[in-house]
Amino acid sequence: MNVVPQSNFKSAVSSDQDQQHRSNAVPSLPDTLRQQAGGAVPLSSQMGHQHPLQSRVEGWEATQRARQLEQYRQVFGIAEPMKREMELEIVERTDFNPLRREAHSLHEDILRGNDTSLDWEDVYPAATVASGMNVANDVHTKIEHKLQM
Amino acid sequence: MAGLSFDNFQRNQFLASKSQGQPKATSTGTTIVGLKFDGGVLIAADTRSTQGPIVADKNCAKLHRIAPRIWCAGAGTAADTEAVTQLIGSNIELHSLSTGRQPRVVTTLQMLKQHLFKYQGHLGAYLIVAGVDPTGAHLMSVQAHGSTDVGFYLSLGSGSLAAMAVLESQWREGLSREEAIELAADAIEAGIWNDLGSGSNVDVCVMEVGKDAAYMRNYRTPNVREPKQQSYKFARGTTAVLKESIINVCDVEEQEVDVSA
Repeated sequence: MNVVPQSNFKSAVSSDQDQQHRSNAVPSLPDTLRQQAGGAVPLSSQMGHQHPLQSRVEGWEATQRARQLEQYRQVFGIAEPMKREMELEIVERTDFNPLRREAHSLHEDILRGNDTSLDWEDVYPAATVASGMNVANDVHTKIEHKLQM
Repeated sequence: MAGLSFDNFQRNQFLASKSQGQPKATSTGTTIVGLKFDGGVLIAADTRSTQGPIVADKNCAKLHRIAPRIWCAGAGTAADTEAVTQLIGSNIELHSLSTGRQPRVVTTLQMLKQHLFKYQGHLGAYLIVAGVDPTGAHLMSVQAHGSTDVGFYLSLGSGSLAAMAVLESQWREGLSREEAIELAADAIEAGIWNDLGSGSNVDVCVMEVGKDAAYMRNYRTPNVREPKQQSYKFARGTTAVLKESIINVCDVEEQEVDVSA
């Protein structure tokens, strides 16, 4: 049970795993056009050399959620975290809207207990247009991800 | 990713390794104090803002409002103290609307320390939180890494040693409102005169139980600029007008049209 996210130091990076945008022709290669990283980026840039805050901020919500569920399990038994996760899953499946810019819906926020709080993520949402072309995170990409195409 | 962006971190590391040197962190100068008195709590601050050896602003405001009756004095990175207190202020308002209760000082403190702990001290905000709520008057301080203190009198910033010397020698339990304001202003003045990073004027905010907060901007102004002995302004008409011409850039003509007819 962690309070603080662990640093995600990688000693190895594989080209066919953990790729957000895979090439349609050769799935083991990244789709550089949709990645919107300004061309081919060396895979070595994914190993280490990150700001010490990055993994902490990115993994913060997930770590807190995991800790909370673990504590629920210890106090109330496995039924409590299972119920909460299933409710969240139901909302996530029924509430899919590829046109919505932010990640969470209000229903999701209520289940996560975020509905009466603000953070920088709400003030500065993620940029959907990376380098002038909206191909990285457009409606089609979201639907493809959703349907696991 | 939303929120903080780390997109350029690797690029900046590379550029820094190729260039002569990286910009260094600057230490910031401030004196802020908070103290409790009979029936309330108050905070005070100086008004100098520095960028290294340069005085950037001679009359900046270091007391921030989180809720109408919870105020906060900030030392450290000015932008961080401002942004953090505004964000927590919004959260406190949302929370009090959701619960239908007046905001509590402990809630503010908890939100501040959790937020600062998440950012591991990269947000350089050192705050003294003071306020009154249905449970009474409270005074706490938060450091940038998320640690907190509770006390009857607190001081933070580079002039905190000078201010604390005054507070240590003169604070006692059961001070009246007027005595407490004078003591806080004296403590800030000790910082203004003895610390190079602090200067200019004294701001005070008094919060009494059951009353609205009284914000006294520039309560003391010991550093008023001397007026110049002579005026060096040129009188109107000193420069002769040789010729004058006005160009009509465009001419607009309008004609009324009766639409109803």
